[in-house]
Amino acid sequence: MRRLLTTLALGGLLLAGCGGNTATAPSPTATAKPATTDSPDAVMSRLYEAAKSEGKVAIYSSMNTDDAKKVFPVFEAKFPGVKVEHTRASGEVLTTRVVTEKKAGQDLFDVVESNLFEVGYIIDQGYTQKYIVASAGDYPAEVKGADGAFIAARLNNDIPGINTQKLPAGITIKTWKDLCNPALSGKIAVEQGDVVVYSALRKILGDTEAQNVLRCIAANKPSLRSGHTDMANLLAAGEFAVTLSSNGHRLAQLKNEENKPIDWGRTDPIITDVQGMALANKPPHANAGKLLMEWLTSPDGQKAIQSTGRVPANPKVPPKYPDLNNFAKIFYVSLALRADFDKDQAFWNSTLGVK
Amino acid sequence: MAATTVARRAGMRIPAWRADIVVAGAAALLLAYLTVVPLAMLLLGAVSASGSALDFQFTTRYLERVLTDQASIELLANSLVYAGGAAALAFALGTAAAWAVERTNIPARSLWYGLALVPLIVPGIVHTIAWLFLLSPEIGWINAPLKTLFGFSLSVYSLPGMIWIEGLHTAPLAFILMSAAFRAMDPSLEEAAAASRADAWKTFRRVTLPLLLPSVASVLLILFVRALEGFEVPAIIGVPGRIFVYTSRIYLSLKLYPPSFGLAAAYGLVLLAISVVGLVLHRRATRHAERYATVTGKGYRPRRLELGRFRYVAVGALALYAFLAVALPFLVLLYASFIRVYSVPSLESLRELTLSNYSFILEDELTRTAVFNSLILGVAAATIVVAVTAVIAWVTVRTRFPGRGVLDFLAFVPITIPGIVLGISLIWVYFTIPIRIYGTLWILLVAYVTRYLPYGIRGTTSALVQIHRELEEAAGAAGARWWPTFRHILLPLLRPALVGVWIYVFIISLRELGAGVLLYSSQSVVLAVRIFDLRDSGNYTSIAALSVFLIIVLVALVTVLQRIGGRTIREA
Repeated sequence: MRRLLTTLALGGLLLAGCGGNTATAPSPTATAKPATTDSPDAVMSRLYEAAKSEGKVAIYSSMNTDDAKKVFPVFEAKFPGVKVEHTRASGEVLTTRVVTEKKAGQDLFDVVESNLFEVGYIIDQGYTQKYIVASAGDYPAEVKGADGAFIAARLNNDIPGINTQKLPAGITIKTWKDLCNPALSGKIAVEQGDVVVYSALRKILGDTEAQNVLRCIAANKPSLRSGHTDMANLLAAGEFAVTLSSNGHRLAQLKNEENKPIDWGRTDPIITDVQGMALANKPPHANAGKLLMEWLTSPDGQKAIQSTGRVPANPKVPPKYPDLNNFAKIFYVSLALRADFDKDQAFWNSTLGVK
Repeated sequence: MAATTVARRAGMRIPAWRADIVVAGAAALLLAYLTVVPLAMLLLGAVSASGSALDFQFTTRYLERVLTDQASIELLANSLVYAGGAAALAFALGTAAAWAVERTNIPARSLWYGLALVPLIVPGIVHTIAWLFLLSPEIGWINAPLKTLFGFSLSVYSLPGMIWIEGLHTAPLAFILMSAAFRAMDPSLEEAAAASRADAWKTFRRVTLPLLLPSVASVLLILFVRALEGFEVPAIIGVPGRIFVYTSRIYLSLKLYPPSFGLAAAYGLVLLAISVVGLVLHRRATRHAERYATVTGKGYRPRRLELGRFRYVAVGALALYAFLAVALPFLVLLYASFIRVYSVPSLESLRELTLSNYSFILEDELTRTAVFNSLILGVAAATIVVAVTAVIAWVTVRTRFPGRGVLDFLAFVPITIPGIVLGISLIWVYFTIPIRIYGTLWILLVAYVTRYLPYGIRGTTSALVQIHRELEEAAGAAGARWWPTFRHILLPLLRPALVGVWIYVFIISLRELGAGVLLYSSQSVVLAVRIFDLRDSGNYTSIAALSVFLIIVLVALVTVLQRIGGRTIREA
């Protein structure tokens, strides 16, 4: 397994290009060019004609169903006759599903879309193919793979969540170290699978400081949760005062749409988990799959994602809640971070008591 | 030879084609298909370096890790205490309620019967979430006033908390099975003891308890293994509290990056081993089952104990149980179903009541599909399980078929395979053999039937051992062959148990999560998976609305089934 992961990590390093860097203003890049010079609309028009006979597109995505309901119907309205079959599951479960299906020679999905670590693993197995969308040039290098291995349509900001009514008086959360305050003992929650946050902190703070931070957070006896949205909702309900990392868009939804006493820590940089999207190596509905990828990365698709409160990956389409990612530099999670995943996971598990 | 001898001794005519051997052989083949193949995949997965049977490379590293892990003793201890505690609590609650309802003159018996069944209908994940909101340290309905008034709170994130939630949820299973046992008991034996001036305790110890022993052993075993293999409570309550049991380890193994199927399978094998020990103990406890045969050719009507003024104490105890197991969780769900994002009840939250959660579940196409699929699967799985296990029980109890012990074992073994591991195994099975049913309702049906065979086999076997052979012998003496005897003598006598099994399998099918979560597609989504998906999205208030809706619909449905069952029992 260790050898497998090492191989994966090396593959990831090759794929990642310049991931794991911070950038003050993500700039579009032209490293990955589409195979055609046609405009996105022209490409979609051509693909739509071919996709009509396929009738549907099967996407395996971690986007929750509430948000999916705001996105995929827009696609279906724009492209009548092409129905989106959305199989929703967490990144781990999607990985399990894809790997098992593919090992058995089943080709059931057209597009997979989830956390970059999971999608990177699926890419490494050879279960996807390269496809460069027509809008690829609008996207920064940090959110797309080399030569079209993947591209992100949305980003997740991993930022500390705060229940302003439960936060003990006099405490502010601006850095991860602020979560070490003994006054937060028993009042903090951690998503148990968030190893990626620790991997990012190692790059941001350095190994020793990141280890110290995690150790002192562990000393505050955090509640281990499963699922970021679940954790954010419990934070809003008052079950805990702070979280190590919550999805920014959910915190913003709770604060702005549900009027909950929610805020978030303005960390510098902002850890941003890229949600990789890739085309299956043998998609049963190849044209519809490409069409969906084209549309999700097009201005219309990005606006649909924007409407959910999530952060669109195209920097030309600002998030619905700008204060989610305008207060500091962005640290993009990259496949390169997987290089020490075994070690990071072991430290994470032993420190937090994940067994 | 042996089968022929026994059948002749039983007076049954043996046709040239040996009906018993044909039936037993067909049962053996079916069970092998349903259980041996997935188990083989589980075993292969535990020793496969690639974590797949399709790309097999032998390794012992997963088993080594499972057996030599420093935390393995803690894991074993936690698992045994949790499962044992939950089984004991469920058994105590369920048996006390069953005794009160079946054997005393307590008023409104059918009401208590109905109320006791409600927790059984509620999916485990919903029940767990309801109690999470009742006992959460900060936002729990029970803890909030406790903290305000007395300065302390009860921690749901503890072993007692886990035992309480699981025990309360599975108590109705004990209630159903022990009710059947109480109904089937011939009270003349107790009356004879009383006539011999034996006191109540002595009568209970020397007569009642031995008569109930096969049922007690079966029920305790089922409750124990049910708790051992369930993963909702360990995942939602245990993990945040850092109390890990085997199933949460399996769950976490599958959430590793990349997921470790091999580790999950190895933990599954340990669960299997523990359950096999349970099966051996069960067989020892029931090996002299014939001594406890209480259904004979004689007619009888169970006597009900006159409680006198203690009737009201019993009513109070049952009302308290119903309040804790039914009313309180329902109320918290009802409240949650009318708010957009969960919060502690307050004037502010009450001002913002909304029907949006109900609109969501009624308009949601996936939820509608899930309800429809679950109903189809429930009916199909319950019917197949009843049919198959009635025949298997007959083979194991009534024949000397050489492999009958193996049949019983095979029909029981799936209870030890965590649903999620069975799901992975079945994916491998149906991707390996050229039957393309992955992603359809068929693979879910196979999974459900496999998973619920143990409940069917325990229910029907326990009932069958209490039916004396003399009735079949009489039929045989009158010239009846195997099928007419089975159909006209055994099936009517077994009908109460079969109806109980059908209703139970139907209900648990509606809430099955573990086996379905890796087998479904968007076209074959089922109710529990839909709820899991909503929970994964933190959408508790929609879950609450769906749960309230389901509880109301299912209580009505079960009431109808119960009436049919009651009539069936009376006819039988």
